[in-house]
Amino acid sequence: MHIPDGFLSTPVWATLNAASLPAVGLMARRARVHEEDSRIPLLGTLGAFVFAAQMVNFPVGAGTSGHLVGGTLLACTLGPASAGLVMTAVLVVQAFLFQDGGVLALGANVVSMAVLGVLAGYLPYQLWGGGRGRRVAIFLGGTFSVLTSAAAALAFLFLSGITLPPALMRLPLALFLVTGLLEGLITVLVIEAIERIDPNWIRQPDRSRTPAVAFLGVAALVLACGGFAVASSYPDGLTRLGSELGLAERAVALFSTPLADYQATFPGAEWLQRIAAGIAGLSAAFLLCMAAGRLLAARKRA
Amino acid sequence: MRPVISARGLIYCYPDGTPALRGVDFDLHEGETVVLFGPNGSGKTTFLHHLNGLIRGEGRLTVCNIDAEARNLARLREKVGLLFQDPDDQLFLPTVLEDVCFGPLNMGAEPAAAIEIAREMLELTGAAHVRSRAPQHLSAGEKRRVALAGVLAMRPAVLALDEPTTWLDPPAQRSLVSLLRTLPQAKVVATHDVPFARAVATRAVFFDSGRIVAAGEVDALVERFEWLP
Amino acid sequence: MTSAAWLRERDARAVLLALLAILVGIAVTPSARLPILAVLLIVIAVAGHVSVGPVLRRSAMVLPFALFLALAAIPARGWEMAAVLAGRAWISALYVVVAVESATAPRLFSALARLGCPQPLVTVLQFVYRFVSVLAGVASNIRAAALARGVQRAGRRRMFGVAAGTIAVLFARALGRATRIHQAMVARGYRGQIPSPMRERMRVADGLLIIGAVALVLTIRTQ
Repeated sequence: MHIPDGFLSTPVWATLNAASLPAVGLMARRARVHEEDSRIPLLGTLGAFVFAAQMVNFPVGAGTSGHLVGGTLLACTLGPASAGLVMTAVLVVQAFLFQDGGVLALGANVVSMAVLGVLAGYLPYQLWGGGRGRRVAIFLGGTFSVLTSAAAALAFLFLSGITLPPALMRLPLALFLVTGLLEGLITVLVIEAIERIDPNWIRQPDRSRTPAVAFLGVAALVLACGGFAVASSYPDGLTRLGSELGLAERAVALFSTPLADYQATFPGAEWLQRIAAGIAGLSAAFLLCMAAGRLLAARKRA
Repeated sequence: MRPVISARGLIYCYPDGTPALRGVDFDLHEGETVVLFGPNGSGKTTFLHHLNGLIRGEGRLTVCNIDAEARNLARLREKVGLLFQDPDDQLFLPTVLEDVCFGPLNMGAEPAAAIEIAREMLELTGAAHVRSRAPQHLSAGEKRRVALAGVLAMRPAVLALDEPTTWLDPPAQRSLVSLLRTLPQAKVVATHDVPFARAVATRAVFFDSGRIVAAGEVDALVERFEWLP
Repeated sequence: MTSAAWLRERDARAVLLALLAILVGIAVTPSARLPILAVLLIVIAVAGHVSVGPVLRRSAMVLPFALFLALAAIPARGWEMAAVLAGRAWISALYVVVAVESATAPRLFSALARLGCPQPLVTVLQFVYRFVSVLAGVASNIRAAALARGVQRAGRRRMFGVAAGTIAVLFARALGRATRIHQAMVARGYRGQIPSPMRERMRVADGLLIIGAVALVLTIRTQ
């Protein structure tokens, strides 16, 4: 689910970009990669590996195809922070060089795949990856990870007003389920194959951090699925959602440009107001995320 | 006179615990070219990587009076030019000229000065004609010259060469020999190529299982260890 | 100086910022004015001597998925809107391709770092970009080795088994090679930046490029 540019409405892509900035910053800091680090080849190779795997499509039925996403593979080998960082790098390379996912939509794709997908994929491994249920944990992680990313991406699209009639909703959900199960299966096979060559390449779950990871992982699942549930019940996307939440109807309608632009004849002053509102909203979202990040980091230290 | 390189009791184990060097003592003096012989996996490459600070083991190692310690690594890398066995591992930028500029720019040279040094070194190694081409389209001999230019552009005091004749045809091997003879730096060369070693070496040492087990003239070592195909 | 050189000599940061401005412009411009941005693109491409074939080919990679998404939007939004959606995606992709063609990917990545993107991300980015071709090289070697020993005569199931088994080998080999590449860079004094001998300094022309892009977007939007 690499969302291209042009499909997300302005509030959605702007907010997600703003949200992804502190997330990437936090991952970069937690990953603690420096230039001479001997882990760099591992990070880069896994990134290239995931990149290549995402290019290989396999049929999942109904004439469509899916591909490996790799969030769980990365998380089980590198840990969630480095995994998110590598996934972000892969998404940037794809957006700029392969037109797979848009540049403005990078925030959306980072949030759905590098943040929510990686966290959801790592959760089962963190909880049960040390014991006998390891295989099952990796398998579940792969499946969760794909479903979470897909739910998040669909939620972003729905919020932008790109919806499916309820009768058609079952189709993508079924396709994602198949893709998710395949992802789980392939992740187990690849991790076991890598482990046979060198067990050091696979990371053991870090027991001391279980509560933090569990909290983040569950939050990722809830956020993606909850967002999806909310978004899918508002068939007109943010426009409708905004009006029901009591936001000024017109401001929201004009804001969600991709679809609402036919009634577009605005005088300049009003337009400037909206720009100002947009920037204010962005800054607010950014500050909020920064504060949340700080708070989380502080709590972890305490 | 103090040696350019002085190693005493160098010990190194791979992260998985396999010993790679088990106490190497080695000196290299100004103007010398010392050839490292020894079976595959005897520690030659690991030793060369120590000289440049890529690996740090136990024991004492000084290069040009600089101790191989974490805080000296940047200076160490300016002193020792390390040429990798496979030029494809070393060349990674889109054009030859940019790749040769990589080292000088890392050392803080101005872009114009870096290009100047790069041109000069490409001239010296006889690769000036390929400077605007992409490294992956060059022949093995040209790649080797470009990689060597990239190392020389850092103006090192010592050259550490890992199997420099690999994949070179005989004429390219001959011109590598004459090129190396013109370079003033002290050199350490790991190689299996006996004719090449005879042509460049002032003396040789023999590695086995992470130790230097013998030292002397090239021909004496070749005879003692039956080191001919 | 030719117009082609002018675009290529711009600071990569300026190219990136101008690209972002235009992408935002595409996202917020009413669909009726999208053709203006498309025409502008053609002007840029012609002036910059960007080769049209590769640009079209690479930008078209966005189309399969964009068309699929647009199709999904038809029941709710109708044909016209679906076409606008796909059109927006394609024009955005075209601008990205032209920007990458003129500034080159490695320079754009360094520009990201100098615009404040965290260094660890840029480091990983550079290596992922570099190692994709390493991986491809190793993979084609393994494939050649398998073909040379007659794997294609073994039937599909066996082929699949071989492929699954070689993934781990592929990984191990690519990692070995990646390690040597990284070491070779560190040996030549690599400290996180891949410097370019091209002078990267913001000049008046770079400022003009950014201001021009922003002004253009503002004009189209407010007219």
